Amino acid sequence: MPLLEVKDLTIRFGGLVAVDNLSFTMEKGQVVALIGPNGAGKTTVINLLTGFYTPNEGEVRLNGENLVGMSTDQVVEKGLSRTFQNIRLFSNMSVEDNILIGMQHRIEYGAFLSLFPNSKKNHWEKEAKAETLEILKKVGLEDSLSEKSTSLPYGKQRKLEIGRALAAHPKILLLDEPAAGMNPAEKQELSTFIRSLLNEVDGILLIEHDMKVVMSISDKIVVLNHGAKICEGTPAEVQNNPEVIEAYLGKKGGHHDVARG
Amino acid sequence: MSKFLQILVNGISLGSIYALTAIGYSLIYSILQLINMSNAAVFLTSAVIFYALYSSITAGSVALTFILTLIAAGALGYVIEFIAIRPIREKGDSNTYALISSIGVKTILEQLCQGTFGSEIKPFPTLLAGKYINLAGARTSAIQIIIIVVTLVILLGMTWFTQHNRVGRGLRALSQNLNACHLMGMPVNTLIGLSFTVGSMLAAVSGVAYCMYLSSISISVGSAIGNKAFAATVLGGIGELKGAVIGGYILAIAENFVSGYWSMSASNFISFAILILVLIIKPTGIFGKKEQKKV
Repeated sequence: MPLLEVKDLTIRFGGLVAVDNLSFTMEKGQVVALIGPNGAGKTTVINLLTGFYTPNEGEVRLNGENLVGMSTDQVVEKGLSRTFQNIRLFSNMSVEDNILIGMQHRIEYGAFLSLFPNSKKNHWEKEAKAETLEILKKVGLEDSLSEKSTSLPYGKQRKLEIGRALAAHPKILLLDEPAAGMNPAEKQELSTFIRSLLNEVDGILLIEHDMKVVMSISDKIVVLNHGAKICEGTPAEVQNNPEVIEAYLGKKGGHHDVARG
Repeated sequence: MSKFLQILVNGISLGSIYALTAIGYSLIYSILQLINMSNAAVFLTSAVIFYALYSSITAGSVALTFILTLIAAGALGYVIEFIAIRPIREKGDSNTYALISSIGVKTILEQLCQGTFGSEIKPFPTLLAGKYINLAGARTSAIQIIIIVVTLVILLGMTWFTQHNRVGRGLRALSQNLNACHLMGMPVNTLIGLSFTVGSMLAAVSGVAYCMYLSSISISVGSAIGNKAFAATVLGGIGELKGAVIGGYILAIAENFVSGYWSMSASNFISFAILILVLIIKPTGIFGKKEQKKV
């Protein structure tokens, strides 16, 4: 059984089919990249997987269990956790608090118990702080514990966001354009970092525009254009696929399709 | 000098009452950008619940009555959000609809209170009635001191709550980026419901305290204080909790000075004169930050 199975996923906004009959699978231990020209529907797919949108048709199965129809917090509980294309950290909060927020749904004591000192709460909060430190070590931010999140340099903010997603104990991490806005050196480092995250999670779904990053870390690439899958395979297979080249560069032979990307 | 002090003490105790209710407005605004008009009615309803419980089931025990009232107010807040705000929010409709819905809730609660309680003024239980302390010439009643002390404790508690409590931490996250919280899969609905619970409990403390201060209750207390607490929120900067508190104190002290040195009736419009001035000169209030609309 695949770790993640997306089957015939379709969503329409009015007359527009944003995601059209999309199917792909992810095995345990894989980095799967979802690529495609701007407007191909990549972020929509993430929003479908995380329950933010409900698809008109299709299934999203995590270890065999269908997640369609679940709310965003239920999906996180099942094990899908995400980062954002444009960083969405809690800007007025410390680095530590941002990670703690990522653990919000795992908290084992209720709102009522939170108001008094009690063993359950004390125990949990202690563990949470310890785990926060651990996560921050993994993403290399342990020295910035009490810094304000927005005072961090850009690359570190991305890592904090990934740390926040890890705090939810996901099975699958969904990274929406993690390399956006990074310089080549940062991208190089990020690639190694993402690959290393497979020690923490069972699988990673990556949306990325930077082909160098995608090609270097993906086990499998799914190419979308106009919401539909046009190709799927290893980096080498995808790179040589004529349909992919067309989607990115336009049709050979002087058609005006170039502008469609 | 003693007159000055007297006015100041009166201002601070009234300011405490404004501040507690104002926090409720500010908290919910900071998360939903919604002016929750039902807050003023919760202020009244809580006082009525206290009165009803005290004159029947829990007669004699102020502490027990108070605890039961707090629980009832907290539940009421959650229910208000659940019934009147959440469906509108989930449909993605404009906040204007939610505002109107909250005005509807306010009206319903006020009418319920009027129907069950009646429209006459009734005596309200107070604490240590007739006990006064002389603070450098300012005659301070015991209940005034209790109100000021309780408010300070609650404000400290709120600081702890927002900084170190899991719910408070969540509410802070919500107020900074509601959409991200939603996309991240935080239990947004429950947290928003709890923000109404917190706001309502503060309004309940405020409502009971105010009636104890007056030693009487009538159904007009809600709108009288509720509207002024709202003015205080705007003065301090809506959406900022410390703004609500400072705004509450400034407004109440200003009112007391106007009524002490000028006239009683002028004090009743001074809040709203200040409100209008703030809106003209610095619409974001004392602590409010200018919001940058992202396009």
